[in-house]
Amino acid sequence: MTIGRRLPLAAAAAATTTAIILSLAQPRAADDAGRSAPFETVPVAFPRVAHHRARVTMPPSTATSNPTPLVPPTAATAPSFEPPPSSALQALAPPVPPSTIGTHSAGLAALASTTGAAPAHIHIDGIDVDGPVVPVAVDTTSGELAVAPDQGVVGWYQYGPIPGEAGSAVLASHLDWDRHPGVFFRLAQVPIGAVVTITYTDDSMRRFRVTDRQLVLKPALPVDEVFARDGPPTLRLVTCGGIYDKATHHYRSNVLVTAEPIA
Amino acid sequence: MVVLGTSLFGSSTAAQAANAPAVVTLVHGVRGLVADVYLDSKLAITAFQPERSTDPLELPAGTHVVDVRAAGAAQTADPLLHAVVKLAGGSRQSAVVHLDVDGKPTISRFDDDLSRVPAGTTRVVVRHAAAVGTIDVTVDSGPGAAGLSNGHETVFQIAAGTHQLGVVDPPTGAAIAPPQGVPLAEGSANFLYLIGSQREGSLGWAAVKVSGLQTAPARIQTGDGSLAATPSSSPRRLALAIGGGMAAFVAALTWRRPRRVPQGP
Repeated sequence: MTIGRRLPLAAAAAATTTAIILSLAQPRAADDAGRSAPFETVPVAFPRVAHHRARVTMPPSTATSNPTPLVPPTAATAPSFEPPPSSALQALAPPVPPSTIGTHSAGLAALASTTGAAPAHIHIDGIDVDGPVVPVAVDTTSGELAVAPDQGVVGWYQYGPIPGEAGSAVLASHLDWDRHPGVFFRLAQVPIGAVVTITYTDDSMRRFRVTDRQLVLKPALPVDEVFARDGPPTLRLVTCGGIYDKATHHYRSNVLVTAEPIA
Repeated sequence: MVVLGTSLFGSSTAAQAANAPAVVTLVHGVRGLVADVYLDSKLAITAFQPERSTDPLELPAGTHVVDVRAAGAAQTADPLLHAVVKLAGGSRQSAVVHLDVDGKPTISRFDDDLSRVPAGTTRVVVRHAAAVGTIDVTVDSGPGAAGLSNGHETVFQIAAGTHQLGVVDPPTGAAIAPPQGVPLAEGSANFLYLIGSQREGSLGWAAVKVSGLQTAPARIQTGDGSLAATPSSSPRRLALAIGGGMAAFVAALTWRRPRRVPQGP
């Protein structure tokens, strides 16, 4: 058990922050001693309202002029906070190392995302796949990828990675629309090993090699994998395929092509 | 103790959560105060500057002591702030050093909702941590949250993108903090702290973002079947449809602006 140990990224739901945090070693015995006091390990449920009002005291006095005093002057009677037994306090007091916890800016700029140039064009050698790429979002009502009603463009899921960056970048386009074949009309025929060229808005280019091609029934499409935001850089090209279901007005399957960056 | 926890909560999951560490993010929202922060009598952060935060810190569940002293003050000096905090195992929380409504430094603790958000959306958590009375929060000139007082929070979900966030005085509607464009990334939780003092004209925002809360789109629908080979199609109609489609495809290729010539290495 350690105190101040940096949370592993996975356990933190991939919390993305940039500061470098070093470790604070904490003698194990201290933690054991801290737990030895009665009731220390009983889970404490905090109702949400209580969270909003949670406040800790500031000695030697509290803000009694506050119109809604949130905790009594003594922490001992506060519902969420209580003084530890003095023995536990002493046990928790370790040899004092130099400061080890780093910090980073909490300005509004901390909310901004750093993004590179977006994909603007796709071309696949050997088959007739060539067309412009535009950013698309999601239909927040249906939860479906909001592919533009235009067979002539390819939609890039703008909330996911840029093709070539960590994670799984998704480019999707209609198989057919309004009696016209879409840019990905021939995607199901792309050979393994074919080279996919993505051109970006800054005119840079990256090349990918097709490594996999599947026809997947739509309910079985592994969306968490297809839209993953971390992991090795992967490009997913998606269109429809299989049987067209006249009742649902949708194809029953997706063509899912996977490509990896060419070093 | 595990037996007691189990009997109280009726599930081993609860007992395991109790034994899990708590995760706490420290936020400094008192302008002008450079602080040394002690955790359990141990110097944890040296010269913590205002409007900065830590990464999420893992702490054993249980009771912890936080002391805040002016940077460089002796460890034996009386702390500016002293807090005794009991952290539930498995909980995610933020502790913010900020001004109370009267402008005195204090510490507040909030639970952090880090559940996933629907695809295309983001979570906004506005926390009142400033020396100013009750406020209303406006979002894109519309109502956001009403009657928020110091030490309290309001939580809502909104479509991802940049939104104008403002603060107004509830009785008069006068702007306390003018609307400001705030970038809110998809699939994240954005903790926005109103800090500073109205009397000193120093109101502003501190912000902490937690990413990785996204939900994948549910489906990808790419086609209207207008060229589909349905079972009812005769081979002749099918051939015509495909032939027509290919003709249109070729025509589209011909008419399209000249293909981009690959450049670069």
